[in-house]
Amino acid sequence: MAEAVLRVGLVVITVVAATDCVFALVAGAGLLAAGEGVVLTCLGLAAVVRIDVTARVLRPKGRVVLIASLFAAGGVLDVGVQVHFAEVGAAIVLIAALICSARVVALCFAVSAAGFLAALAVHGNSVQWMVGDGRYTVAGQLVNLAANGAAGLLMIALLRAFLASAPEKLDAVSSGGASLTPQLALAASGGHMRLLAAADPQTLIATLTDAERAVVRLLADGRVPKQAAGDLSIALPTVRSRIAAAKRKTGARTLEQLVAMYAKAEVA
Amino acid sequence: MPDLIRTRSPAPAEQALTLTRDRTGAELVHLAEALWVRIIRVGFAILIVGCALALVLGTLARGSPSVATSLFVGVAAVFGFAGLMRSHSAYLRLRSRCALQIAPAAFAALAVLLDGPDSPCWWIALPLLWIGAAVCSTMSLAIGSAAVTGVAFLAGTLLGGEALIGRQDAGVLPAAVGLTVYTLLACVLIDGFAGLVLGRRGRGRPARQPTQGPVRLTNLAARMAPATKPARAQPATQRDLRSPSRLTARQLEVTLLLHDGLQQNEIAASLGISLRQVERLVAAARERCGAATTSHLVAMLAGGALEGERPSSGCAAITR
Repeated sequence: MAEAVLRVGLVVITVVAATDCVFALVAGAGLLAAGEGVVLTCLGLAAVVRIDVTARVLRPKGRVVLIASLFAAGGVLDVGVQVHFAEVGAAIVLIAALICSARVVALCFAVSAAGFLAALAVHGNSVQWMVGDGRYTVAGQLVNLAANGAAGLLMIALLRAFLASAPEKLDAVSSGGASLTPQLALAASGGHMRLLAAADPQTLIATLTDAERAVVRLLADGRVPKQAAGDLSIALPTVRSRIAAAKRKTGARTLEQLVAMYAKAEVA
Repeated sequence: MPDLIRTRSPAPAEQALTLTRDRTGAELVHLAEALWVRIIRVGFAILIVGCALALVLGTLARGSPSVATSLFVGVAAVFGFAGLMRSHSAYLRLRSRCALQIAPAAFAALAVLLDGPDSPCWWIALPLLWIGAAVCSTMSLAIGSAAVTGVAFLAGTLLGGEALIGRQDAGVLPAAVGLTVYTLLACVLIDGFAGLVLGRRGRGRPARQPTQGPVRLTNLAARMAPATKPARAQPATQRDLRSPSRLTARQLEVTLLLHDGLQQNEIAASLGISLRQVERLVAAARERCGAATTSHLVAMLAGGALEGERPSSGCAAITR
């Protein structure tokens, strides 16, 4: 899951860098800002394309802090990095929150915030800031950084807490307890469903004749009954009666359930 | 040097895998619904915070909140509090129809359009889009709604007589794009979490090796290629299976209930959605996996051919 989240986060960084680059160009920020945006976008794309290398590089999770530090340092050297691509820094903190511990997230936030404030201190007077007065913008960026980190940590904490309490929920549903949706509870706790779920699919499929098994196998391979009839050189009503017999013997309610039992028996 | 940075344990994924083993599809769908309700409850809480932010920041930016801002924020706050109190009912109601699924985004678009330039209602638009992402059947619906809201934000700024960009300043463009980007991120994360709970990670089986008996390989290129890179899947023939495709959480929900033996109208009643939505989800799932029929799709799920990870070597799919 960490790799999937990392991939999503890198895509977000790449998209943010690319759009910020376009916005910087449109706003007349100059070729330097555009170049910085191109570099960030290319780095993001490379990281996504070679996700295996990226994951290896970031495996010692502290390296996310290193990346945040490099970004912050770039902002101090050229404030355009912080001004035009501040969202990239926020996205780095968000990725850290989704794949790292809270301590790493706090470090990433501290480094990014320090970089932003240092850039402000060094270049503050010569910069046209974003919409709003200067104090609001600085506060807004710090809130943005903190909010991204907090949102990521909150989501992971939500998932962990949910999974921790999930067994009780599942047991309550299985035993016919209170449910969110009555129909779903019926489906989950219905005796028929539990009986079939508990039964060994190989045992059930073994009760079928060779002819019935042949028909079910064709249906599992994606044939419709008419095609199965053609493949087996038998009539369509014969196929239908074999399906009905197979369902009766296995207790399957629907054709899909019958086919699922067959597929499970094949894999087992 | 002491290791001050502790790595995060991969507990959620493994925890989910242990939890979902040997559970019926209906049980997992029930669990996923509980997760979605919890997510939407957080969305309503953030909406209330967003209402406060919109009022405060609107006052900072404009001196006092406009009538339009107050009206939209008021309605959003009522919706937020009502949703927080009755999260499950709100979830079921919003899920039931496509029109209701995009209703939060429609309200957000209206708010940012009518509230004037650089609308503070952006702060309620974002959580409304997240709520929409939690109830939408498809990701394209959620992201499309977010894109429309972003365009409405820009249109509201233009209609208010302000320029979209300033001197060396991207102006409101990042805020407009941010609505779509954050919604995309929310969609992906929610789908990922729900997929974990539905046992998507555990749906794969190791591919049978070519030497292990009389099997017919559908991906001959994978069989012949050296095992250094992941094999590319060949185009599917009618009886072949495409390389394993990743179903979305909503598609996996419906497929699991089909696997359990529910009919489509029963699935619609169980999930509180329309039959048409179920049909669309099943059709989309079949297309994603390259399944010729619904039975084929369920057989792929039961046989473990729906794993999302690429095969490291050998076959993309095997049929006897």
